[in-house]
Amino acid sequence: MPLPLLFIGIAATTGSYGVGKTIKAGFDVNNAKTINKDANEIIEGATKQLNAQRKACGNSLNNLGKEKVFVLNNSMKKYVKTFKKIKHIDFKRSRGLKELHKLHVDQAKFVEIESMVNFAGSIAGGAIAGTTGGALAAFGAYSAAQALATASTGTAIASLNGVAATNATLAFFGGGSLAAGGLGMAGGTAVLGGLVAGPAFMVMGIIAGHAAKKDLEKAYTNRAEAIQIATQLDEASLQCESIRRRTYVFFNLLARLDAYFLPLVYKLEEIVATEGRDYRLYSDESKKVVASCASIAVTIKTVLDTPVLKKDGSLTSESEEKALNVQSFLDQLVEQV
Amino acid sequence: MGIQSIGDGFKKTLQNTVDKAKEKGQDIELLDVKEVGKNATKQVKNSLQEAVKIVQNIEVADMKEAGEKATKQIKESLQGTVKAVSNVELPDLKQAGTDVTNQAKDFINKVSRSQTTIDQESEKDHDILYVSSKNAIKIIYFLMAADGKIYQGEEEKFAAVGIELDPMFHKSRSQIVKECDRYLKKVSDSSDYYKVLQAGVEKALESGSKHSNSEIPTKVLVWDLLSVAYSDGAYDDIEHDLIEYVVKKCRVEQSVFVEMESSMLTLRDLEKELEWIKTIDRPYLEIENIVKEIEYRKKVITDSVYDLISL
Repeated sequence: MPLPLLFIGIAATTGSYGVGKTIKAGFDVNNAKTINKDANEIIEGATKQLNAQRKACGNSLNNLGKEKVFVLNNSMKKYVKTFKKIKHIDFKRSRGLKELHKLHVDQAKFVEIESMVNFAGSIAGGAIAGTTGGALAAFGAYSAAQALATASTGTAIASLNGVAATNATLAFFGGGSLAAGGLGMAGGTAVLGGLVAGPAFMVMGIIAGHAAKKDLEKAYTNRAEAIQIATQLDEASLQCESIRRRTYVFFNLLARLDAYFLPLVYKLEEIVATEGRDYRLYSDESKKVVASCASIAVTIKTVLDTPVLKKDGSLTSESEEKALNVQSFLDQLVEQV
Repeated sequence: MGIQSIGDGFKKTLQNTVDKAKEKGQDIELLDVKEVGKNATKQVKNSLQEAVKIVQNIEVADMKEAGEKATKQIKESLQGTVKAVSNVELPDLKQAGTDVTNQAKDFINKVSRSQTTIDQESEKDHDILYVSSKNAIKIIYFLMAADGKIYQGEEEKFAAVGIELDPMFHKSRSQIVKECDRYLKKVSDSSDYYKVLQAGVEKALESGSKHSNSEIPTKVLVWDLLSVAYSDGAYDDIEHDLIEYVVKKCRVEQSVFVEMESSMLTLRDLEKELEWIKTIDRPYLEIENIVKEIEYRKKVITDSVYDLISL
């Protein structure tokens, strides 16, 4: 008897959970050396946590970018190719199919979808050539329309790589070492919407190598500063977590939409092959398939067009609202299927 | 009670008492009053500074423990302060000194009482972070029995799940089933069924939290419960309510639970898509590409759930 899907057993939990913060026993409050050591450990703990969070966040944006590219290059490409063949589509005149009256096939939206498909084609080509760099993360983070808009010259991959190279937050998620001298874009620049400023990064990379100050008062100051910096790093960790979780909400929504979309697109291809290209001659069932495809395509476009991050690296409020709307659409779709 | 407010309260008490003493002791030589006041204030200040330093230096392993440590040490410091004040020589102002001591004592008693209340409240509302394997298995048993009975197919699933959570499950299985069934037999009326299930789950959760050998993080338990609930293709209201009860009891964030449900729904839809792909007649390379993508998406979702639980 197979286990339930993705059941996590005891073997997987041992030692796997909790990057966590190091819990330390008490230390001699009157000894400068131990106070300084404690200050360093506070920074180390916060750094470790933030590094884990930013890496996971970077992965999530990459994954979403990759998924967007696949959907555009596969399901959406097939849909555009087939839908263009069908003539005389008019949902309003479909008798007995009340729900179709509400559906409006927007020619402008269709043209945008087509542009996105072409755009994704060049990114996919870049992926094969191994030149995506930070492009996938940028495509995951920002709306497809924004990505299209920046690709006024040059290839899509070059424009997205450009975005990735010039955006401090994306560089921060890139996961590269932040050791002193290697901060790159993130150094001295506010990321995550200004949540973390440059000096905190310097400390992250170096691991507070304050010389062991013998003076007790200075040791207390070191510790107080370490707590302040660790607090800032902890806030950044929380923000990374929020971004990661929002990104995966969109990943899941897109995966679910595509899971319903692809079978319908294949049916659409069969309809055109068997019933021809004139919508007016289609059976009611076939007309429903055409409408459902159009409806899901528009919803997928909404997901592709919703940016998760603003340019300054903070979460967009728009993404929360759109996620709820798409979830609601999916709930209705599941009921109808 | 915050350190600042303790300090402020104490300062205010001291000031009031000194003012009253001044009113009464108009004839007392001001030099003595000033000296006494200075000594008392200096000792109080030193004690409070000591208390603040102690609090700053406490490792914040968890807020409750830190709060308890801080309060204990502040109490000791303040008690030290009271002793210090009462030991100050008060040749003419003995009464005033007694007043200060009594008022400080009252103040400390007030802090102690409020801390006792906080202790009692926090004892009730403690976070349950881990559950023992045995209790996790019991909770899963109750979930599987949510639709009234455990059928043969489900018994096999229960066995598979049990072994995953406890390598010695073959030894503990009959005892676990016996204890759970004893609970389920308490149902006198079908309308009581959910309450009995919930009571059984509550007992399992409460027992697990007091043992040091607890093994399953509660977020993992919630995920596993969802996994079991969805495994038969139907996720009904009673299963949802029971899992949500566990979420609330263990104080897992509601948003985490919602995201876990969303991940589980996505996995279910991806499985359906894979089943559908097997039935279609399309070129192998085209199908292979799609299958690879679906498997990749499943892996990403698995990793995202691990991140949700562990980070």
